Amino acid sequence: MIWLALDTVWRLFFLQGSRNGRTIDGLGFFHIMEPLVRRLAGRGQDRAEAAGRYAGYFNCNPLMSSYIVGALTRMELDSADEGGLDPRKAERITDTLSAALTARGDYFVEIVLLLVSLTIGSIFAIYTWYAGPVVFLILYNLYNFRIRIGGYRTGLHLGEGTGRVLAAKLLKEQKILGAVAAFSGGVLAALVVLRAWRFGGPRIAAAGVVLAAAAYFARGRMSPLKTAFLLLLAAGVFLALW
Amino acid sequence: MNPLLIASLVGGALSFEYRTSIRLYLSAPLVSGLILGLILGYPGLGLTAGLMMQLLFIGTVRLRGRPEADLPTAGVIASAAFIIVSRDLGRISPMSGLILFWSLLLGLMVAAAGSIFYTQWERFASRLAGRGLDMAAKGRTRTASAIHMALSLVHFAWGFLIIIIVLPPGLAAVKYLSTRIDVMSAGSMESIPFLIPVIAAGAILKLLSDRTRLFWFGAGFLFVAVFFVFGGGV
Repeated sequence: MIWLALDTVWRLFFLQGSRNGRTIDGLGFFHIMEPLVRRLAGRGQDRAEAAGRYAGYFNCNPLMSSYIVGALTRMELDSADEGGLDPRKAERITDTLSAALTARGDYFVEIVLLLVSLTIGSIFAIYTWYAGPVVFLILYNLYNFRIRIGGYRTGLHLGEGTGRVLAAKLLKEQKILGAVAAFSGGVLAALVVLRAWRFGGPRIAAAGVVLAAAAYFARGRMSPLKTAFLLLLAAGVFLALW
Repeated sequence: MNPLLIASLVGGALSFEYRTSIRLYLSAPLVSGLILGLILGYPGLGLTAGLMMQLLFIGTVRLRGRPEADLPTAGVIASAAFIIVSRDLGRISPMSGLILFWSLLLGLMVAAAGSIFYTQWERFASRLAGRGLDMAAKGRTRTASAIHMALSLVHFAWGFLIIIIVLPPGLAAVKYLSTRIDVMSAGSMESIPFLIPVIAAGAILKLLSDRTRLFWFGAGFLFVAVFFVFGGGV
């Protein structure tokens, strides 16, 4: 069992390597499930049949997919003596869990976890230089590893019931981390405005606030890349003319 | 080793790290800038460029199915350009605003190129991934896995190639623009490292949609403001 777990866990970190427009991460998901398929084939199941259950479309947040892999592994091992998991059931579990976990996971990772760790890391980077990236890496990866490796274990433990437990757990942490992200965002905002004021006086601080307002209104209306281009150019033009 | 080769190798490795979903976020410009700076011997310069690139994109939410800026390569190329041009021009200061400005612009162009490349690549990879899945369904599971890992290597190749192709002309352009305009312009561009972080504050605020989070944002802001007034400055 330990070898199967190890062989699966390292593959979790390569899920999106073959991402494409049609099956999204389907091949990556199969790559993760491949050790299990080999194991099932070793127990007398038809290899092609076992593989066919996991050779299709897959679209899930890469961190959250560990729960699905864990849950499916548990269910496959439990039903190994009965000729393997019913393909329709395997598909239903994969689809249901990935839909539920992707919505929650994308929000948790993109809007809460990344924001809080990047904001705190940036504050440290602005003031104490090298500590910033280290603080960011520690904060983010604490959750990254906990969700991926812990997620696989939880899935393996709970099987089909994984989704509900995880959703409740994430919601609780999301609230606390969201408040921390907002507080650290406020700290960063005040620090950078005061810092700009100190360096260039009220004019630079005011220009910064105008550009910050522009960033506020542009986000969501324009792509992030276009917004970054325009804001950098606006800052450059302002300073060149000043 | 040649700094161009170093930057390309780092760019390839970090692109692989991000796109395959290893995603320890060593590829975040905040981190990659420092990594490149440490390797090239100017960590302060690398961190400054990386931090600024990161702050330009802070609060960005990746939407499924929408092209995203290729930040790993953008962070590496902006940091590499800032470090190498600063060193060549003898201006070893993280506050060298004009060089930083052009380096960031170069980084953003590479981010746009990466966005276009990956939109096309994901279409092209559909066929190959489809073949891999067909093989898997026929029981050739190891071959399917090998196809997956082979496709993953494209990310390293992209990161490596875009940097080694774009960096030499990019360095020449950044050097030219920094010296040429510097003759005429005032030192006001030195304010760039102070202006970009303020822009980031607006982007962060945008993400805080509900009242509770706005309350905590205000609390954080006031906390620093009070500390600044009564605590003798920041």
